[in-house]
Amino acid sequence: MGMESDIELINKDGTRLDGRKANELRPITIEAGVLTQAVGSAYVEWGGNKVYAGIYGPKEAHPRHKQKQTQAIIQCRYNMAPFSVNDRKRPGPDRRSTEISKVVAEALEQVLFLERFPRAAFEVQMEVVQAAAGTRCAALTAASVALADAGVPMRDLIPSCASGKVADTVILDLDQKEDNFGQADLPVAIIPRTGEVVLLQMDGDLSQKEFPVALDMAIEGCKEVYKLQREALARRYSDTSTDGGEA
Amino acid sequence: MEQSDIDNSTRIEDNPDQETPPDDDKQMVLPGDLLAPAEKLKAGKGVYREASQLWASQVGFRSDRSQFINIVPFNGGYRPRVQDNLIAVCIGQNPSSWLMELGASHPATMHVTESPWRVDFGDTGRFLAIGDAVYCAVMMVDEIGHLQVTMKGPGFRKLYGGTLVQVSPYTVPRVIGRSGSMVNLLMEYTDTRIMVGQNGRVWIDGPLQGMQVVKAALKIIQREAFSSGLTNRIKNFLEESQASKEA
Repeated sequence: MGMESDIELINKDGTRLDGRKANELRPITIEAGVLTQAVGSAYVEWGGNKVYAGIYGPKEAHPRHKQKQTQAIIQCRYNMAPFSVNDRKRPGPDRRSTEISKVVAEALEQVLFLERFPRAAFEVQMEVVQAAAGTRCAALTAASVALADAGVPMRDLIPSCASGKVADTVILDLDQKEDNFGQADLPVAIIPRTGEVVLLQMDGDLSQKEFPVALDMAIEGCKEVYKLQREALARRYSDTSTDGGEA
Repeated sequence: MEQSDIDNSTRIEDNPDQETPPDDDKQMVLPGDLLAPAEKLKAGKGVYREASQLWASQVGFRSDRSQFINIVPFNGGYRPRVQDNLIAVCIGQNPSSWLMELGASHPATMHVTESPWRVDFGDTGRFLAIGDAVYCAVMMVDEIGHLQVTMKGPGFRKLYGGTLVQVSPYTVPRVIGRSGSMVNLLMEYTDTRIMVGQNGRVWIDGPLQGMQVVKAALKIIQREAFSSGLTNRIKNFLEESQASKEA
């Protein structure tokens, strides 16, 4: 964010470098139930991003001092593979991945019925195998589908999408170059049923006039992602929903 | 061999928590789907009430019974309920109790007074070693997830020999079939003895080839648990296996 460049990120027609319009998402593919060893899982391809999410639990929370007597806890781990970016990423947790793990866990807390699982933990593993801007949104989107796939009781799915500002224009779903050389990035996640915002972060600067425009744009993006999440889950069990019952 | 010749099918019918397979008019729902206004109907399993409406909290089939709307989920972990008959594995010993693993979020305790043996203080290891499996029932579940199991009752015993296979707890009704039809079919064709726990653990004992056929059949049941004509497909599979064995 905020790096200097001579690249024309948006041309005079309002078209972006990859040919998208200002309010257009990158191509998104979501697949549920991709990992056999996890209780629930999902895979999201979002432009150049490739993210896996796996759910383990509910299981006894460890270390035990983290247990809550009246509800479950969410243990999120967001991790970027060393080969996910241009320069090799040093493996292991860092400031950024710790932060993303935290905000994703706090977003998921809003929809899960944690009080039904006292002293337990849900482990949410998110693995970014290829990164191209917007990985926290892709990871949260994948985690939400994986939780539903795992049969964890939840109020709704959580779709996530970012908007931002590039060349003084508010745009939806920044790609790698727009993220690096843009002016602002605004990742948002919502509960579509109620419209509640469960993730809202901002990098860079947006004016008071630009902010509501960017927020509305991100929420509209979330609604499109929500449709794809639902389609992915429906596809996963499509064979079962079309067949009849036991003869 | 401490084997009691109990009719397995009788024991299976004793399990009170079997849900019948979904009806033909089943409808697939996803978390956050609106089911009905809460005025006339009540929230059953997998359903929550908010803003005077009933909403789905899991991916599964909608099942309306009298005044209740339930969701029969496609996936999820085992949630113990009192009187569930299940297969537990010993994972720890104390002087007067054992720690039993049920596949739930927390391990259960089995006190020596709940075992069929007369156990002296500190002599628990002589009766149940770590790794031993037993057929038992859930005696107590409290509001913060503490569990106790018992082996007091007809048919409960330590399991010698055989092998354990884990299936999804939600497919247990299909593994058993209507009035035990599926499990009887498996036992008849493979010359094995089978016990099915409500926690999704299946104990199989008998000739090696028969056990392998049952394992393969269980995989098919897992994969096609919610589709129609499953019993017929399994019967065909077992007949093919028998024919290849004779050839």
